[in-house]
Amino acid sequence: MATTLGRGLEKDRPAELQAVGTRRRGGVGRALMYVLLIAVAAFFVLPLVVVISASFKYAAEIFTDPGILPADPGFENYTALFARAEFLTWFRNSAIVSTVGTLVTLAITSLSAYAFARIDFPFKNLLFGLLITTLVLPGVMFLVPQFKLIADLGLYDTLPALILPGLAGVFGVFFMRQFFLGLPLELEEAAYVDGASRLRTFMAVALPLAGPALATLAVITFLAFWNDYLWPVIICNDNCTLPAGLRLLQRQYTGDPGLVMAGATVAAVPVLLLYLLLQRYIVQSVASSGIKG
Amino acid sequence: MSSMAAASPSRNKRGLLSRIVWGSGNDRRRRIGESPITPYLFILPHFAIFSAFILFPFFLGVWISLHDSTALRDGPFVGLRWYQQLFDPSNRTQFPRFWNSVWNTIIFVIISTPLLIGFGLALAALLNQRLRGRNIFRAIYFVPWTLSVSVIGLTWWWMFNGNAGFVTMFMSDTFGWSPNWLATNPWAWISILVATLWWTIGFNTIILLAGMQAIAVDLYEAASIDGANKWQQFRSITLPSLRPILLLVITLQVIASFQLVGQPQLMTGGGPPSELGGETAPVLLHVFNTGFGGRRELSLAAAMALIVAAIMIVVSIINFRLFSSERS
Amino acid sequence: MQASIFDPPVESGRRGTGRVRLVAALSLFALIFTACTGGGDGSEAPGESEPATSQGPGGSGGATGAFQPPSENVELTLWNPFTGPDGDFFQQIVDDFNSATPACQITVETKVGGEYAAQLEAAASANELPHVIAAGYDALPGHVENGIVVAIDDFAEQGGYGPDLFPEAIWNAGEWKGQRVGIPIDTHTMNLYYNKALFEEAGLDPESPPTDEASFEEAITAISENTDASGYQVVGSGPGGNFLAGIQFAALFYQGGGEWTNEDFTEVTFNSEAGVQAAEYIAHLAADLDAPVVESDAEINAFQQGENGMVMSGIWETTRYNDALGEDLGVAPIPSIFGDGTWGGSHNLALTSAGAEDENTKVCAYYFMDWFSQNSLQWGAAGQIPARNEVRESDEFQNASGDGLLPLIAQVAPLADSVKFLPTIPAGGDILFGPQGAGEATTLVVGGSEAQQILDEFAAAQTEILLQNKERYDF
Repeated sequence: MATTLGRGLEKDRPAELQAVGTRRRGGVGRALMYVLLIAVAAFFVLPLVVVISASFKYAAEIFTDPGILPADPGFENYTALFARAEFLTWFRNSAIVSTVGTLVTLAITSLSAYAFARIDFPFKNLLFGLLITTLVLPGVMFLVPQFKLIADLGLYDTLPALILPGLAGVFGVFFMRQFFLGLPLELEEAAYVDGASRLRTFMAVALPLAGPALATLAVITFLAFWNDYLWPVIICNDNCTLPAGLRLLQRQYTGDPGLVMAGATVAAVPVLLLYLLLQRYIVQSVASSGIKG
Repeated sequence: MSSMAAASPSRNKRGLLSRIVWGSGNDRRRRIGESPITPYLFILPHFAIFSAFILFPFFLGVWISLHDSTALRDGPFVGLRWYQQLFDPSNRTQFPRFWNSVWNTIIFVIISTPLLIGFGLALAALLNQRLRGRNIFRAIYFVPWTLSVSVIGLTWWWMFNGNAGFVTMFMSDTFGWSPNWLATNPWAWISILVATLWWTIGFNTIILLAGMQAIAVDLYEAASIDGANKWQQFRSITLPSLRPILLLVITLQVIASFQLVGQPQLMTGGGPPSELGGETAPVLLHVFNTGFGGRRELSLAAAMALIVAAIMIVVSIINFRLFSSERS
Repeated sequence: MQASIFDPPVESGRRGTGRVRLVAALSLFALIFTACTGGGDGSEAPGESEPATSQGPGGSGGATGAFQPPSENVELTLWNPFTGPDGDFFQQIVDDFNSATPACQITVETKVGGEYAAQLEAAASANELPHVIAAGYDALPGHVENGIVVAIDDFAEQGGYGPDLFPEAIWNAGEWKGQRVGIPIDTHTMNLYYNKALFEEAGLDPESPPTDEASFEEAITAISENTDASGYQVVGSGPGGNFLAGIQFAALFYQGGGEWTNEDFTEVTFNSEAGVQAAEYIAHLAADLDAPVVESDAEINAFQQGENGMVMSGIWETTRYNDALGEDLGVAPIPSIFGDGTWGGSHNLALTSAGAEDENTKVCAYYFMDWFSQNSLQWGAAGQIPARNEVRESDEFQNASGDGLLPLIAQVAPLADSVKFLPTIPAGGDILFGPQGAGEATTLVVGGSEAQQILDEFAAAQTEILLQNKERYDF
């Protein structure tokens, strides 16, 4: 994947040696840096530990036993949580919405981006300009009209309502178009000479090459769907996803934080697992998408 | 970087309309024998959904704000009534509460942005050092950003819990006193700020770090040969080289901060009540409560949202101008 | 980028004396509080007591014959907001109905209160409305205007339902624009609950709860000085703050003779003297008597754990208090600080537009509504005061004894006749519970704001809203 900023700086040395600063640093300086790194890491890790620990404290224990390690850990909160059918529904919905949303997004944005990148057609610039213009519009202005539209379509509290507005996003088209523009033309021209239709060229030549870009887009899109909060809160009731469900959980159990923390833990675990496996890749995906943006 | 810039002046002898329709005409991307509707079929799926859920709602939002609508009825046309209420200082219901929330939001953006960017820069600089295990640290710092704001909000709702939250207990044990974090100000805002920092710094750090790592080492070596120390190198090489990335990060950050909603909603519920509304209620939360809370004033919320969007666009433009210009 | 009940009618405000007042004052009829959704939220008590086993339909028993079950088999859905233990009792009554009436089967769905209106709205937009709903009287005008609920004047005519069957205010609360839209099934007041054990420990007589300002304040002081518990706790914040502070305000407001609006709905008047003294008194409890200011539901939890001597709560908390304190629980009308009166709400049964569509469905619904009203004795066991006069006057109700709530409810039932309600207009409940409502004003006064100024400000804001709604809904 692209690693430069496109400004002509060459990376002729491995990343290791590009660190800022002199190679030899005083021992105290280095030690101080490690201390800082560890302190900051503790700041990032500690709250998660507290949450997980709280999830193992049942009912009033959570107030009487404030230590980090629970004195009497138990799974009651989790059994109570999973005894509620809604929680499993939220989980299932999050999975469906995120997966379907990501796959469909990949399909339609790459199709659209390929056309904008490779084909000349009337009003192309106008249409693309229209798409790009909406990128600067803040999401807040779409909440109310999207809600009314969904309600008028009778789709309130349904899975399509959770997926459809997310598919309309323009970032994916922009991102994939950048990628397709960067592909050398020769391969596609060769396919054309061989008599392949535009669609075949797209599917046989462009898409396979687009693997890394598609994967990056997939990561970003999946996270966006999985973590989306405000729109599900607005549009769901019985058919919520995890983030909206957690809010409902909190509202119903304000006096029972342990249960709520169990919910938060379970909601965070899939993402954390995914992150554990793909951490390097996820970080690079976000970084590169940001740079390109 | 786009085909739009490909036109060379000498070739553009055709009229404006023709150029709008056909573009520069330089591309050789029309194929002989290809159906003219093929490209439209390619863009159709996305464009259809885009039209339905972004283009149409754009106009629908304006329409709703000019009517008295609810989810169940379109309602009568009321013209600029909602806008009048929102801009009329003598109005007792909408005017004070809406602008109070706008003010809250602006204060939050002003205070949080330097912290979020500053800490992000500092951490990126730290991670840019040749230290062992920095990738592990980088991975740890990024974890919160992968979580939903609902998890963030609930995590810090519990950390700052007035009875047994970690922060409360820690302060009680260490200083013998702890403020009621979520129920009084300025502590409520501080807790929201801390939660936001925890959530977002990782993202800023990653992006800035990637930018830093792309800066050629030669520049630094030349500078240190010239006698510049680390700080001077940072100021004269790193920062200027990062300017486009900084601009991006700052812009994204300002836009995100303006749309603050999850943390206050879950942690303080909008904050201690006051005569002007919740003290920690940012504008998006106010819009949400107006349109989807108890009273369900959909049209009023639509009008508010459009005003907020306009403010945000203006702020983005100002932000772009400010940080694009030369910095000494 | 990444990135929230309603009101009861009020009694007259005349001060009585001693025990005589107790009996007279008991006539406060609790307003049916739909706010099982409000303050009762988030308080799912573990180990709820079982619904009292019924020997059969109570009250006057059996249908009067004005209504008949449908001729074909019909299945209905009913929504209610009873998320607490009373929901189990409601289900029990419905189960009894279902077994007695094979042709008409009801399925109950309970919705979390704060979202109840939103869910009905959503269901309406998706054409998935239930056929019958149980809802607070104050929500009905809005539902009618939104086309969710329909008028049922034919039901009233057919069944002979009229003001003689119910206390007047309660019957009137189910009317909107001259049409009958709801059949009241209960009312629930805010009552005084006290811990007899703590009373004894503090040197007070556990059988004589405070009945006026002096005895109330004396009890607070006695308990807080002589025991580890607090005498009383004032709600000043929290997600349920507007609601709990609101009902507290409303009770004292009614005692002082306050009115929410003027006659023709052009002005909101909770900033009258009655309102100011109500808000100031609540703040006075916190400021001068050391009653701790707490978050919503904290006072309920503290009372359950024996750390709070007295609490003024809605009647729907009775089950939970009974489970926690057992014999130590005392129930009484709230003390008459400014006069007699308390807050209350009233649940009604209503027919939705979905239920009215089909003739058979409507017949089934009408039959059920009538049956429920006649058999609402068991609803009393749930902790609600049955609305129907003959149920409350029946021997079974008056002589109820045993473990369940019925005896406790029977004690406060006579108060039912003097309830006052919020204005029965769309969004009437918001005047008290909404943003810039009297409840929110109370939390601010408790927090230190000046009562008259805040109430004036908020009353002016509410007046703006009232005028806008008046034009919008044409009343």
